Amino acid sequence: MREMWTEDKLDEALTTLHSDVETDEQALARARAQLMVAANAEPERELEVIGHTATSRGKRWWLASAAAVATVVAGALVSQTIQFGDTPAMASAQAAELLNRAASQPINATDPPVGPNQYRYIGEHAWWVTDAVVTQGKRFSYLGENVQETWEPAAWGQEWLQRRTVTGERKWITGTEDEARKAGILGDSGPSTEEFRAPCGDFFASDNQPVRRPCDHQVDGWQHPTPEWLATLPRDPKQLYDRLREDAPRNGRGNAEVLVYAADALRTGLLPADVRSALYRALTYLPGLEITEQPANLDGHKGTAFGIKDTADERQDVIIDPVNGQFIGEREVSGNGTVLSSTSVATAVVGKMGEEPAS
Amino acid sequence: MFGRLFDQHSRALHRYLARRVGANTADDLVAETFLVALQRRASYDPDRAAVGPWLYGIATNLLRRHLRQELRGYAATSRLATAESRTGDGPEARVPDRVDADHRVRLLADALGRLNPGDRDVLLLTSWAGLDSTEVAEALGIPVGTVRSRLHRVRKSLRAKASVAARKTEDRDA
Repeated sequence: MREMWTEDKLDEALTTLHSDVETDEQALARARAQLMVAANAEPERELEVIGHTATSRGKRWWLASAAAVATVVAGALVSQTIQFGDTPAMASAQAAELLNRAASQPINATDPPVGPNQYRYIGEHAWWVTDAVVTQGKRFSYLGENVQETWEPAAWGQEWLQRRTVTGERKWITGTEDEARKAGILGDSGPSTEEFRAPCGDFFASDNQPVRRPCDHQVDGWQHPTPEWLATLPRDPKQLYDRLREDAPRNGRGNAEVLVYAADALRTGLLPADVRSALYRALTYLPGLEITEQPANLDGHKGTAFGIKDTADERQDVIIDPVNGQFIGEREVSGNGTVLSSTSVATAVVGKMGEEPAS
Repeated sequence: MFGRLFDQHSRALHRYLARRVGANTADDLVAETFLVALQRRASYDPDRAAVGPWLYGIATNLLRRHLRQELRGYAATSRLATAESRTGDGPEARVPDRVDADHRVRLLADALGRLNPGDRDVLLLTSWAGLDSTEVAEALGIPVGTVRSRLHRVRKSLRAKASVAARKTEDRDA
């Protein structure tokens, strides 16, 4: 009984196989930023960009050269031990206590209402590493400043605005601005701003293959929380933890990757109060999560850093103010204490699209 | 110019690569593809290939370094239990059609892992990246006739192999 699949059955299976992949916009933005740096280099100079790029999940060659790396982290490091083979069953008691305290603050009970002609402003201020640019035998790496501002209308299906700015500001990790300029790797990369508009915050729908209309089959998940997707999340902390754990990829980063997914969702600024509160409590179930710095300072905002190290000794932190419950931001820190990337988030209600809140 | 090129192609390229080697490796490969494209821009000949196929050609070369990872991915998918299908948790998830479809996806994953790399490239550049035969030929630098005959052959062998594998799995499970 030799029975062949039909062409349709084959196509259907091909369409389905691995179709649930997601695109991390931040990883793409970093790749783009790195491309822009390379593109701005003088073409006649010999420029080599080492293959490994500044993604959040990769190993970085220069971590080995600890001596060359400036330590950016300040403040008291409370604890940075990690236990292998003996991972505690939950977050540390101190971490759990502060997370529960943050979860029960009024800020995580209700969100400020957005009126019909108002917008919710979500400002992300990020420093992403651009590394491993090698020219004439010299290596350079730095944190570049990126600002992403999003205006979310009162109704999801109305037009949104997103403004992305690469400010051109840099914090040097290896090399200096002068040396880099002399070596010709910076060109005249001044500030650059781009704006995107679309309903549903679905800015890149037309980039899909096949092209789709905004809001239509919108990608959702921890990196792209849509109202429909948020409605599927349990509000019970343990159930939410189980869901987070199930959704996070098993990619060798262990429990740190679970925290990366939580940080991705918090960073969007799109989680409503009840989900934020449940997510803080959910993290108390995360084995190995502990307080890694207190107080931790991100962009001048002080809070408590809760973090986990992965198997490559890189640490993911989320930073929360336990006193008022505010999510301040997140960061990745190398084994020697260098901040590899950080993002702080601020939200506000504003009266116009494109308007920044008074600070 | 490269910024626009990136904006136009990076997401589709990422999705294609992520389906082959997973999202994290795809993050790196997308960045690498564009950096290679930048370095080779002087040798890019628009008369020989449109820019999309050119980028997919670069990406295909870079993918080769991750062959083992790609094969592990197909193997893992082929072993997934049907009940684990996350896309359909509702009652409709358990209707027989759905189970059959899941089963076919797993058989396909297994069969994809056994193809020779050139055949796999032709099939997936067509099916997943949405390139037509001419574009696949441009991407891989092979004649368009070869693409068409390869595609025909590989599809036919998959339709047959997958159904043979189905019988074997049933025998083993019985």
